[in-house]
Amino acid sequence: MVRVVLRRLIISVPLVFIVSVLTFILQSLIPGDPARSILGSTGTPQAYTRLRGAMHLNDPLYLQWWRYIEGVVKGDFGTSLFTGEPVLHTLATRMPVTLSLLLGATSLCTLVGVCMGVASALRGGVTSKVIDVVSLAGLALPNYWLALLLVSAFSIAIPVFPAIGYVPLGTSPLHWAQSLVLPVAALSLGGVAQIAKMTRDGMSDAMEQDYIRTLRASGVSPRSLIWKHGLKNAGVPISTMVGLVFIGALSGSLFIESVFVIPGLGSLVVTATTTHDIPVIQGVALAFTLIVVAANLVIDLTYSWLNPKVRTS
Amino acid sequence: MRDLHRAQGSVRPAVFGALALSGALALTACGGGTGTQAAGPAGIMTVAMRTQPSALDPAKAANGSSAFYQELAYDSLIDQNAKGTLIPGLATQWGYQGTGSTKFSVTLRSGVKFADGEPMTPKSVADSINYFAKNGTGPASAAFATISAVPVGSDQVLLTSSTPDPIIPDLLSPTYFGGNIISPKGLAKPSALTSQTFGAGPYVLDTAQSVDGDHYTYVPNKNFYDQSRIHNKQVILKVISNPTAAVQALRAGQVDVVEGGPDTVSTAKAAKEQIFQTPSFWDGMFIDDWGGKLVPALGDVRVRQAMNYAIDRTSIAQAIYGNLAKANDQPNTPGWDAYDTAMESRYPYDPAKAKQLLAQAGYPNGFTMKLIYAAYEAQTTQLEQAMAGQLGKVGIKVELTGANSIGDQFTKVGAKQYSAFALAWGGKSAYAQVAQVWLPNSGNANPWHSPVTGLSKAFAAYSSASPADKTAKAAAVEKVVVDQALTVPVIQGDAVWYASPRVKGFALMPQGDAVQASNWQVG
Repeated sequence: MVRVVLRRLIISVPLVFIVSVLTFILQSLIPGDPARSILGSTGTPQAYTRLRGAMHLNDPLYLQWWRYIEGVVKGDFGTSLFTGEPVLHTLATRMPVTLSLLLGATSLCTLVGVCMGVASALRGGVTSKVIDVVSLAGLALPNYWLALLLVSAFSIAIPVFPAIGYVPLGTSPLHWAQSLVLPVAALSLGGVAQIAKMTRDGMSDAMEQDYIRTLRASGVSPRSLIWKHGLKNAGVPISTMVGLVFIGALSGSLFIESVFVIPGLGSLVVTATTTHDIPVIQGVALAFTLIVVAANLVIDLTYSWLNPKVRTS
Repeated sequence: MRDLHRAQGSVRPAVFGALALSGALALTACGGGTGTQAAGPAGIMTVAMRTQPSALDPAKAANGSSAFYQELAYDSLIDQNAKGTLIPGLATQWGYQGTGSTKFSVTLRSGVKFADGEPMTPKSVADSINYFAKNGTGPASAAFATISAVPVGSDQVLLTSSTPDPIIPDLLSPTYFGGNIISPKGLAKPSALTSQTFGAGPYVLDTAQSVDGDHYTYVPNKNFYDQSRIHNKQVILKVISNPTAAVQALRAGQVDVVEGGPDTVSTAKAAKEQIFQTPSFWDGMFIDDWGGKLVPALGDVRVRQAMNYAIDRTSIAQAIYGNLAKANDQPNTPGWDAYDTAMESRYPYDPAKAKQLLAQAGYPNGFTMKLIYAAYEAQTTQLEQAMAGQLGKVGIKVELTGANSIGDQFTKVGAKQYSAFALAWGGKSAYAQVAQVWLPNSGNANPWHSPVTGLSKAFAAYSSASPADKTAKAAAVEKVVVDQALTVPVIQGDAVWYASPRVKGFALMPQGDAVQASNWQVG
């Protein structure tokens, strides 16, 4: 287990390096000039020149990148070109918000998806087909459109949940949960479909195995057969799919945070991109990379727990 | 088979459990759908803003709805009422001294303190104006570049302009930010101006209750000189960049005021929100190559006039904007001194005349030109495509390029890559309009620094005009601009705002801007 963790952490170093370089190159290709975005169109040529110099925008790209990495290693992620706020502080403020959304969506996807998948595998027939249709609908519907639909239905027509906004957990756990219901629902639907399908396939296969027959014959309860033996053995591909759903929800969060006006990393990077706030763009890219690395680590650990052969190899 | 049925039975509790959890959350929400800042509570007004502030520093602020971030905390020397008429603010009297419109004096209101407790003095006002003139980068910066201020006596400030400037009263109003007086503590540490407010307005930004880029909470300024003008316990400016989300939040009762647009007005009407609408911007095309440097054809006024005759303004306005715009022949909107009703219908749609003028100018087969437009404005994108189509019918081929930001757009215009540019442009006084666009030193909008035939003389006469003559002289400037066809205006568009039924005091001024946010209140 320790080796798994160490291996994953070692691999993450070059990954962060590569993401940092790619992000730097890509954001340099964005049209526009950060100095003009800050000063507006009516600044004087001298003011633009002065600001570009102060921001080191005239330096070669590799030098700008190296200066940035030097700062990151020392814990300095720079400051926002627009607000002057330290990027690290901004990330720390917004990361819990996005994680709430992602973990909520992933948990809901897993809970509902596994239940639907197990039901589909065990019942088959019409139930299975209905679940298939619902799953496909979840995959086909854009979560952005679904979000607007949910708001129209449950915030306006039937005012049950808020249309926008986020309440920090520390302010009010109840309102925090309320503010996440619709965003999590909108973000989850596609993931439910994927997990349900993977669960159904895995369970169908697992329940046909000889050891299940043996356990059933020896009097093991049906509940244990499904949840302890069958699902655990079908769990390896399911856990991989859950990890992928989590990572997919990360990109979906950009749209969802925009529709529900949630102050997370997704809405932050959208704003930063339109305003050419380079330090913030870089900071969010690094934050996303670390989230993905952490998610992959959790998948690996789960895999090790589910499959003893991995632990002993 | 029996075992399988039993097994299926063990799935049901998990499903029921999930459903019960969701239901519990729904039931607990049934006390009202509250969000981060509930618009419901009495005395708390929430306004949906499309963008975070371009700057909290008055010297760097942009105009438009971003002005609300300013005017809640910064009272202006000269204020405006709902009709757009200038009224006393931090100054009680003002006026030009002598002739020539170069010296302007203001008398300060007594007993005023900034939110930080510092008293407002002639020196602090003069320092603030000089800071603005020296460091300003917003749309008013060009107009302030020639102005300096000195304190006089115990309650006066004298402003001096190196060139005749007939609009100093307007420059000191909320529209141009220069009259937003910053306290000495703010001026002593300019870096703090980016994240805090240091004004003498009715409210002050509470940074502890604000999240940068998400919402900005303003609380009453206990040092404000007129406490009866403070109507709300809190004013929250909530950044909602998605217009649909903003309208949905209005309908859900989570925000009280939203800036609208063509895409959402029918939804707001159906929801019976208060709707406010008035002309506030124009759109079409600026021809920055009127000197013919990039495309020689554009150096001929007949060619530029032909372009104006080639456009069916009424059809475009109806198709793209519906009832929110109408045809416009001049680069301005009603309510400004530069707007001249005599210029309405100056260029009726006449493609035959357009071709005739092109032939007379020596371009019977037309020519090709490049235009960069604001791709970040949905309606402008459609407008330019429609214009290009109609100009193509008279032989003028317009190669369109979309800019993703205003910075990108003006960078390329300044680099002399395009003969024309397009974006929605607010109404302005003749002075501000000409200074920003059509003088040889007007910056990026005039990249070739070309003069305009007849404009210098008209502008000089306008700049030194007495208040009684100002409107007539402004009309003369507008006539030059329109006759020289420096633009191809197409539509005059309306500003649209929606407010919930509980909002009082909201109104749009004739120029299209909303009255100051400090005047709005919730019941």
